[in-house]
Amino acid sequence: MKFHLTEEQNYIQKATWDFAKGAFDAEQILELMEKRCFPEKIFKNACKLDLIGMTYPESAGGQECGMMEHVLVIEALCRKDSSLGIALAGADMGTELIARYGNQKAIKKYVAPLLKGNMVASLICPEIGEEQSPVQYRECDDGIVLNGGASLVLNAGIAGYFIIVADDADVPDQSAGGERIVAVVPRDIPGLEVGESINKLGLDMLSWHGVKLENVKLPGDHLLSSEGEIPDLFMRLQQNNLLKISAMFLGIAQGAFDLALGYAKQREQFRRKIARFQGISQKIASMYVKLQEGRAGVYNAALLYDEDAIDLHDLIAVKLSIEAVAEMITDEALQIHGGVGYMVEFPIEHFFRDVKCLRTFTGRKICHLDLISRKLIGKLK
Amino acid sequence: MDLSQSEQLEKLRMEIRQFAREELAPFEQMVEENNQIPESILEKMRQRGYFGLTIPKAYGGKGMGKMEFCTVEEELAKTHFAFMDIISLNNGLGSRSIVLDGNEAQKQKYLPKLASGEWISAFTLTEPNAGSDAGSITTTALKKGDVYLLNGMKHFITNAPIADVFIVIAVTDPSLGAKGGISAFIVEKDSPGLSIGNVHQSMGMHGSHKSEVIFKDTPVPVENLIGMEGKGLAVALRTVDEGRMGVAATSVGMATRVLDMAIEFAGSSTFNDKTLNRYQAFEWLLADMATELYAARTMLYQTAAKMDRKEDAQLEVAMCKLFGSEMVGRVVEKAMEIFGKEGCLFANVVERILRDARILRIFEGTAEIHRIIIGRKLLKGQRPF
Repeated sequence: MKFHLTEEQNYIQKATWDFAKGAFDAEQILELMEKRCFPEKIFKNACKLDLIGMTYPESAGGQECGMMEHVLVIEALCRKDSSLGIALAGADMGTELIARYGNQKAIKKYVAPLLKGNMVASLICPEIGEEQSPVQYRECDDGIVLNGGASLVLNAGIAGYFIIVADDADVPDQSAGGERIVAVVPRDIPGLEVGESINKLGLDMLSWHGVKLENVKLPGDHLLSSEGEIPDLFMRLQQNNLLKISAMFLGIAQGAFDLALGYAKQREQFRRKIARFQGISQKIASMYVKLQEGRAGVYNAALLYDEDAIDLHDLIAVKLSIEAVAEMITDEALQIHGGVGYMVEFPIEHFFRDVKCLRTFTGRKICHLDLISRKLIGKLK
Repeated sequence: MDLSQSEQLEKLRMEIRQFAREELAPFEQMVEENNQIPESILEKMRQRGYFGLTIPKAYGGKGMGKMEFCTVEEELAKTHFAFMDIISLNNGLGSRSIVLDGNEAQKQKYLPKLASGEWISAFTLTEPNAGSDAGSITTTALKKGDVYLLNGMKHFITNAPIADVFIVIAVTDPSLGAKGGISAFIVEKDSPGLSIGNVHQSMGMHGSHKSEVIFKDTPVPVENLIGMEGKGLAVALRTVDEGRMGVAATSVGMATRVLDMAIEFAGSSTFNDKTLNRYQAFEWLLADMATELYAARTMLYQTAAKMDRKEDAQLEVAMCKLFGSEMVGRVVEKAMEIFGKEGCLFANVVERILRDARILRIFEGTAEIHRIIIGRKLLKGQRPF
């Protein structure tokens, strides 16, 4: 099924797909995964093609594209390979806020090297539904002091800077007037400690680390502020992340579908292609139904986001929906592969693991559902 | 009546559980990381006779029935899959065809070595182009004088890199193929022309070794033919139910471990200053996990009892394998929901079980093949109740 895309959007989608087909090499992917390395070179090449940071304002070196275009790019990258796609698309998590609301100094110091592919970002913020951020701040003479930390922080090992969401240490409760701030923290600041890399289920090109902040003194000019342009920076950050992650799930789902369809049309058992067995062909059709349903939701959300017309709970709903689609499709795709699907040299093996890992990024599903239900049910008498 | 809890079975269960907890569990992480079971543990398993649990006492085994063996498998599967997997071949596909169809000389020669664990066995049926469709194997065993010459390639063969003896299913009459042209053989590892090909790297099942096995003019003495020539597929198919029950028992064991861990975690971990077990949503997840685990466990022992009564239980075995393997997948999924990010860490056993459990829906007959088996039997009028 086709979706209404503009000529420019079609072009961007195709250009990204061509890039991914050319630059993603199956053997190299396995090697990067085995060594647990960030794909530095490919990231630099993606930056050269302006595939990273494309929604940033032109003044910060971006393309000022809409979220819809960004979603198309992430989808195409993750479609070609889940691990590599997520590594590239997740390298700038949170940086949009610096590009949009940071001062010139911060843009020069962080956004510019990121867009050249020389730096990677890392983000520390509360999970969906989590009342308090894992980091707290206190004001001091010329800025703030940060304390706290998080145990599983993506990209922390290689990040040049952290985007940190922190709560007022004295008034942690926001409903009691406590303020939540967003700060840019350089990696080499005294008091910030990054732990060892922690091995995990999927996303083998990315690492998780513990991060500790102990009396980290941050000058006031490292705080981000939209100066009233949008009411809540953290909300913007969450919305942005949810859409990026949704686009990743969409790409992985499409990629796993491609792998399953290709395999079913080529694999023969009982003297016929397994795609000719109704049990298998029905699976493929069901996967397609889910995929189209999920894609419609993600594209619609991206378009609404660009018009600033979507609420957080609806974005969460879209993310939960495409996440379930990606889980179902990667699982069935692996099943259609049979024994080879379980083997590391077949890409579906890591597509499957990556989805399981990616879905924990913004926290537990139950907490997502709580947030949606609170919005729907409201306060009861 | 709870079939799994007669006094004698309960004693066995406690014995295995204690061994698993004291001797195996401390080495779980090591097995996962080194991709190998330490020799000292294998020796302890040999001493306890674990390699010959199902082999008749007359040949050095313990002569266990299905109820007992499922109990052992369930308990071992609560530790690392590799501990269960390493004994499963000698107790199942690696010895059953000799026990059921072998002649006295074959039994005398091989069963005591398999029972003691001195020899490790492998079962070679699957080929790159013959997975679900086992009848389409192309490895040949053509008779030449007093030997059969084996030629062909098998893959995904568990234990192959460490096996001392292989049960090989091959085509003896290409004109008949699956319709009476397939035979089963016992092949020793140092046979000329037998070599180990690529070792497979897989998502899970670490500590259990799988590889290709290649035969090039490998001579097999005629006395190593199991049963009659041309009856090999029947020999093989008579033994697959053993492996399928093993999958069902493993599913139950793994899911039990995951449930226990999830309950413990829900009581000790907090979200927004409340322990997880005080949220109704987590409580309900646990309820669903335990309910279908109970169903799978009940099916398992009900069916094992039927097998021990020597009644035909192929339909029930297929159901146990299908439901058990899918059940453990769902239980792990729900546990991941409870553990959140921590469920993804190598340090967390749930992460390992997620990877290990995924093979259960594929090997020993895929879920799809099992739906076909069950569906056909139902349409022929069979019922499990």
